[in-house]
Amino acid sequence: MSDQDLGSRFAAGDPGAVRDAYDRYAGPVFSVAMSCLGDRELAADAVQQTFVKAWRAAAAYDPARPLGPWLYAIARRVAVDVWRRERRPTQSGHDRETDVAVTPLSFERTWEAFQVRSALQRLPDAEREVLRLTHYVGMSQSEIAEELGVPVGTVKSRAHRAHRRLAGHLGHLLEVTS
Amino acid sequence: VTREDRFAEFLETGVLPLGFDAGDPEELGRVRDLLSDEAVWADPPAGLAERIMAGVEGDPGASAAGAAAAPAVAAAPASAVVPFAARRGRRLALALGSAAAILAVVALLVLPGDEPQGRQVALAGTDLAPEASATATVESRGSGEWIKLDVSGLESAPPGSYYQAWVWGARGGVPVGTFHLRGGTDPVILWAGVAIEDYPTITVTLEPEDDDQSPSDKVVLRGALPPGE
Repeated sequence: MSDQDLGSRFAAGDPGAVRDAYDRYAGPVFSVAMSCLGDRELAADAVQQTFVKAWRAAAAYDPARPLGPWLYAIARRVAVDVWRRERRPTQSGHDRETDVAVTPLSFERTWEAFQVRSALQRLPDAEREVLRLTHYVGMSQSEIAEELGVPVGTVKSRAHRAHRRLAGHLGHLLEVTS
Repeated sequence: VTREDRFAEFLETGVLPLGFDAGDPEELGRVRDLLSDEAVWADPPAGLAERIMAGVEGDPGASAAGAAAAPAVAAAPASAVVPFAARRGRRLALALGSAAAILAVVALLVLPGDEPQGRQVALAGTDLAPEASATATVESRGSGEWIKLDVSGLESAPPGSYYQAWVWGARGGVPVGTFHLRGGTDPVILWAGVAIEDYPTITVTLEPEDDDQSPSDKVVLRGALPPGE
């Protein structure tokens, strides 16, 4: 289903479109929330609020515009609100939470997180896994080969294809920075 | 060599290729740094989608506003949404377990010839079971919500696993019974100790036989009581 079709269903108040939008954008929205809050439970809270708020504001959404950036804008606003809530001392006098991000990240940084997560989701599973093991887990190519049970050459070629494909998906970010 | 090729090389090595003129190296560095950031790899917790859908499907005001293409509505205040984790450290599994212990009367019985005149909820198969469907007939009785689940097109649960039915509302999910369908597709009778109006979404998950009491993300059937019923 195209993003425009999904957006039209969303704007028309089709509850099923919320589920489809969740399947497509929950990962990027969660990335925005994690970037701002650095805490999975708070981030999950922010994701829930984002989709419910989006649903309640569905009639205000213009389906001619992309759904992703609209959800991103709601997500960032919600995440900042959650951050502010968590930074306040509780009514019962508890200390304010100290393990959320020190300050909400910049618009650019959270937007980049949304974009990178969206691009990673579009990769084939095998290529995305090589990127995860390389960049997030920090494995060498020989370690990845052992982990996945494939030859090192296969890891190298997958990594090359994955980075090439990722660069293609993020080409619009390149335009912004150039 | 295109600019995207060089961008790919940068993403792979972290070294800006000679002659790469794609702008601010700091910004490109941030994009590459994100690849090692937990934020872009972490997944939302299992059950969050059901919780959101329960809030959406149990919110007739919002649904009506959308269906009628009403003028723009303001976003609801954050306080209107029950947080996924209302208290730090409270885990979903614990919440579900407590709710189950306190509220749910869980039973799995077969009651032949006992047909209620209750409300009906259509459940559709998900991508995990696209051929499956079910009708849940719900009737309020003295001891709780009596739910009869007529299932079709759903394969029996593989050995080492079972199906679990849940009702979901703004407060979370409550398990209402388990079954396996290995002996046929007789109607499955479930009992819930919570009001279906407050927990209007019904799901069925495939669960492994382990000690994890939280719902798996393998939802095979999903449906919701229509708003207002």
